[in-house]
Amino acid sequence: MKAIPGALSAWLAQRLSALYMLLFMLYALGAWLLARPEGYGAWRAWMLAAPIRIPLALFFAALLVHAWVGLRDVIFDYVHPMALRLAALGVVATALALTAIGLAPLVLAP
Amino acid sequence: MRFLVYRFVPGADTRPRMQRYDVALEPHDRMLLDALERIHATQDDSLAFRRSCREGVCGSDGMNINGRNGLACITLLAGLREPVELRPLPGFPVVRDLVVDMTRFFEQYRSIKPYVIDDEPPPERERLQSPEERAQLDGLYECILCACCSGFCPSYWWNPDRFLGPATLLQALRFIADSRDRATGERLEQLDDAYRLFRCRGIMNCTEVCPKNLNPAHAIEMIKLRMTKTLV
Repeated sequence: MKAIPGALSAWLAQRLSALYMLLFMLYALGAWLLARPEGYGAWRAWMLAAPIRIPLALFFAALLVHAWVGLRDVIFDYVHPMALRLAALGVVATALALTAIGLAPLVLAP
Repeated sequence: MRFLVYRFVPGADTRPRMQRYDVALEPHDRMLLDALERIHATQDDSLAFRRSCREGVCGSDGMNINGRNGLACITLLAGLREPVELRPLPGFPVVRDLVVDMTRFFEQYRSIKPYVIDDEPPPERERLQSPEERAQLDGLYECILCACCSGFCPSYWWNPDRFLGPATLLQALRFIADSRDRATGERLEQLDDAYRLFRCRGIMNCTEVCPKNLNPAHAIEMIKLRMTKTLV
């Protein structure tokens, strides 16, 4: 496999992350329909259970990747002055990084 | 029949205006271009618009008709809501009235090298294609470069200098898909750019307005698919 060059990688990342999120949501919805977790404790236990934990972490990673490519595209489309564009990209990157930090305890919780 | 036509001469007018024309049509005036020519002949010979073949082949008279891009020569008057509002192709610089500057559009077309590239010595007679290989070009070669699609694409409006637009990308696939072409790799490499190809959001305005019923949105997806296939 050759290295993925340029813009194709971002487009592929967006498509693949969307596909993964769709599959995960279908799985999660199916699981909740079959056995609905009652209350916060049950939710927490379900999310931290071994079979769901890594797919859930991947779901959030896919969400962040998807959001980054999408918001980057919006900025590329509409924000043309370079200084303003870099600032907007910085704001988005910071917001997504903070979201990742906020999500980390959920995924990494003992 | 009543028309509201965009009038603007850059340099002479301070701002564009919409001019009203009430036209008495003749029985054989069936297409919008007939009405424009009637206005030009009987009311106002200063109104500027392009036309040539008057049968949907040359692509000269692309314009915005009641909010939708199309060719005046193949748009039936009978189906138009009055007053018929005519404007130049959106997103293109206006030269005068309904005439737009197509320079950048054709520079972009040139940039994709719209010809078969094959450096091998030419065969004695011709470079043959099988019927199946030839069929790959159907839906691509018919494009007349009227720019109705590119002029209806928001991505092209926002980034007309860097995004190639649906018409040029459809033409790009026409040569990528050509079995006689030997430069497919370079062509795909040239398009792998955040702007040239990937500004397309797939909203399919291009397909919606193409007067030749082609599908530039599908062509763009096919280019992305071919690019993806080069990775595996």
